[in-house]
Parts: sequence; structure tokens; C-alpha cells
Amino acid sequence: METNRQSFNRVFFEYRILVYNLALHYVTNAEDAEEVTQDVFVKMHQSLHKFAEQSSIKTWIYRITVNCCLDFIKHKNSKKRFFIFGRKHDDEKQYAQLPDFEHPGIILENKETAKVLFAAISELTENQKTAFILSKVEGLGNQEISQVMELSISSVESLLFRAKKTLQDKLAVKFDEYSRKK
Amino acid sequence: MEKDKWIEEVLNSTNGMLKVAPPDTLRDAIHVKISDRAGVPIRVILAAAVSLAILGFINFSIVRHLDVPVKSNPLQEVAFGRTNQLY
Repeated sequence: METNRQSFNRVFFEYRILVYNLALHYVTNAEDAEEVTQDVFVKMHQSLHKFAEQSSIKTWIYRITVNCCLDFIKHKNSKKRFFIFGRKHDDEKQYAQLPDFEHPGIILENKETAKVLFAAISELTENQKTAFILSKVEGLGNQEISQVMELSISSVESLLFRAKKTLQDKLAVKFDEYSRKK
Repeated sequence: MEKDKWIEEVLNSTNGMLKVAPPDTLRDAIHVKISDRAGVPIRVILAAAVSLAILGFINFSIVRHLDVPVKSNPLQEVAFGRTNQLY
């Protein structure tokens, strides 16, 4: 029988790329994605023995990763707010030096447009963001997304529709801004 | 229309995205975090909590058994009348 350590190592080698890339789509830079990936596997290690196999392990891993990413973003945003209103701290310099968009998976010719897209995605609500990333960027089907998000398929469809509409509106505003600058 | 074309181009900018492998140091970093979190076993925490509770109980019972009546100070009784007026 497989020990806890062996099963953890097996899960790590099988899903490390999936977790790291999904984290990259949310946090859009390699350093933060690595931190989130570490948190995901630590959480997984703590609860691997509790995994009841009611859903597939892939769905379970997606769910943990999405939750860790959303928590990380919330924490980072609250830190940013603290730096604006609170006292100055050494960490502030580190934060200022971190690149906001450095997604190593994007091909060079799409870098600029992808930067605009991910900036718009970051302004979506949590559910819309998750539905859009899982569907458009990760390429999951609506049924898989509904299992990850624990929602009905019709709710996922509605979230995707609203996410796309919101993105189109935001991008239209961006286009007007660019045109005025030219 | 130029605007719609641009929006579509931006929305499709994730096409052809490459899968990126995480750094090789990731596994070691995870194991360090796991061992850090497993630093204090739950039994030690429980033993400390039980010891504190026993100590508190002993203190409380000793104080209750040594309940000595407070002696009144006769000087105070002379100085202050019933109305607490000083003159």
C-alpha cells in the first residue's frame, strides 16, 4: 500500500505544472505563482488523507488552487491598501519592485495584448474571473467548471456570458483611451 | 470595425499559450514549509493547555480556602464619618 509521503509525491509530480500554470493565470507573475503553488501543496499535504474521492482528484486540486489564488490576491490587495494609508515599511520597496505582469507562458507576439487582457480580468468579480480563466485560458468544459466551482452548469454559463460582456465593455473603454492618446 | 477587431484580438491573446514548468527548487521549498508547520505536535499543545488549566484550578482552590476576613483599620473609622464628610 502507498504511504502518505509516496502518494503526496505522486500527486506533486502529476499536478505541479497544472497548479503552477493556473496560479500564473491569476497572479500573472512567476514569483507570486511559485508562492501560491507552495501553499497549494502544503494544504494538499495536510488534507490528502481526508480526500473522500467524491470528486476526481483533479477537480479537488483545481478547487484548492483557485481558493489559494483568490486568498493570495485578497491578501496582496489588503497589503497594498495598508501601504497607501499606513506607515512605510521595508516590504513596500519589495512590492514596488515586483513586476505586475510577467507571464512566462504567453508567446512574445501576444505579450502586450495579453497584458491588457489580464489587467481587465483582474477587475472581474471572483466568480466571473474563475469561470473565465478556467474556460478561456485553461480550456475546461462547462461541466468540469461547474464541478470545480460547485455551481450548476447554467450558473457557469451565465457567469461566462457576464464575464465576456464585462471584458468587452472594459476593453472598449481601453481602446477609446488608446485612440485619444494617439 | 477596428475597435471590435482589437477587442477580439485581446480576448484571443491567450491562444497558443505555453505550459510552464515550475522551478526545480519548488519541491524542496514545499517540504521546508511542511516541516515548519509540523514543528509543534498537537500533543505538546494539549499538554500545555491541560497544565495551565490545572495550575489555574490549584490557585483558585488555595485562594478560596485561605479566605481571611479583612481587618478594619480603626484610624479610618475615626477619620471618616457615615457621610464621608471630612469636616
